[in-house]
Amino acid sequence: MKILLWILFSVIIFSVTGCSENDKTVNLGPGVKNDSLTNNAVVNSIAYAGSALLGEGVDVDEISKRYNENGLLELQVKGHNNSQFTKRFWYRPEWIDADGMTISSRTSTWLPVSVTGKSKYNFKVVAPTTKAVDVKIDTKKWE
Amino acid sequence: MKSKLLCIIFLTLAVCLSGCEESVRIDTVNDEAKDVVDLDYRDFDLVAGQMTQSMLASGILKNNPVVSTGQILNLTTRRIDTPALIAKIEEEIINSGLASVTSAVGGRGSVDSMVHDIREVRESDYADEFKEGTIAGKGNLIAPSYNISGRIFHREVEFYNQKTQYEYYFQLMVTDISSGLRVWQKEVLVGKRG
Repeated sequence: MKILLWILFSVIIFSVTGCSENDKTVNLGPGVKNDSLTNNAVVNSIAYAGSALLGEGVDVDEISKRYNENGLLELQVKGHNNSQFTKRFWYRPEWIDADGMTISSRTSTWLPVSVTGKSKYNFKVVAPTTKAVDVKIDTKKWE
Repeated sequence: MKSKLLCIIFLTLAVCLSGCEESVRIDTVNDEAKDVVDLDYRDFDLVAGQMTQSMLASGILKNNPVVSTGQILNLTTRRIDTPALIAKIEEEIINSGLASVTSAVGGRGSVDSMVHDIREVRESDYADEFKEGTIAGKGNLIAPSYNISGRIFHREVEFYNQKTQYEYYFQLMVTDISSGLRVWQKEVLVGKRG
C-alpha cells in the first residue's frame, strides 16, 4: 500500500514539475501545450470561471523611455494579461512640453492593443516633436 | 368637418415632430458611439496616427529633408478623400520640425497653384504692377528629396451568419527621389464586420 502511495506521489510530482516552464521566450497557451495536471480542459474551465469572477485584467510591468536618433522621446510600455481571456483596450498618449503644456498632435489618438490570456504585451509611442519631454498614457476599454 | 380638422392637426403635429429630430454633436475626443461598417473619422485618425508614429520612429526624417506628396490611389469602391487623409500626415510632418513639406510639386491637393501663378506674372506685361523685388525670383524653389505615395484598397469577404467582413488596407511609402530607393513603407489594416 505504501509503495502504491509513493508511486502515485512520484507521478504527481513528475507531472507538476514536467509542466514547469523554464524558458519564457515562447508562451504556449492553453490548447497548444500538452495537457497536464495544471493544464487540462477541466482545470482550464475552472481557471476561466475564476478569472471572470475575480475580474482579472491587464498590468503594466515596465516603462522605458529614451530619445531616438532624431531627438524624439520614445516610450515603451511592457505588461502582461492576468486574465485567462483575451483583453483588448485602447491607449492614447498625451505629449507634454518642457513648460508642462500639452502638445496637440494627430498621434494623440486612441490606438488599439490586443493581448491573449496570460500573455505579455508591449507597445511603443513616439513623440510628434522634439519639444515633447514627457508623456501620459490614457487607456479605455475596447467595447 | 371634424374629421378633416383632426386630420390637419395630426399632419401638422407629424411635420413638427419630424422637423424637430434632435441632432447630436459628436465628441471627437472620446467618441463612445458604436463602430460603423464604412470608414469614419475615427478610422482616418487611427490610420494617420499609426502612419505618423511609424514614420517618426523610423528615423528617415533626418537633416530636415523636403518632402512632397505624390499620388495616393483610391482603389476602393468608396469615395475617399485621399488629400484629406494625407493632409493629416503632412500636418504632423510639419509640426514635428524634422522635415518640410513642399507645395510646389506633388499630387492632387498638395500643390499650391499660387507658387506657379506668381511666376507667370513675373513674365507677363503687368509684372511692373508689383513692387520690384517682391515677386519670387528664379532658382528659389527647393526640390523635394523624399516623396510620399500610396494606395488604399479594400476587400469584402462573406462572413458567416450573413455578415460581411470589410477589410480596408492603407499603404503608404516614402521614396528617396535621388536614388529611387524606398526608405519607409507601412500598411495599416482597418477591419470591420457587419
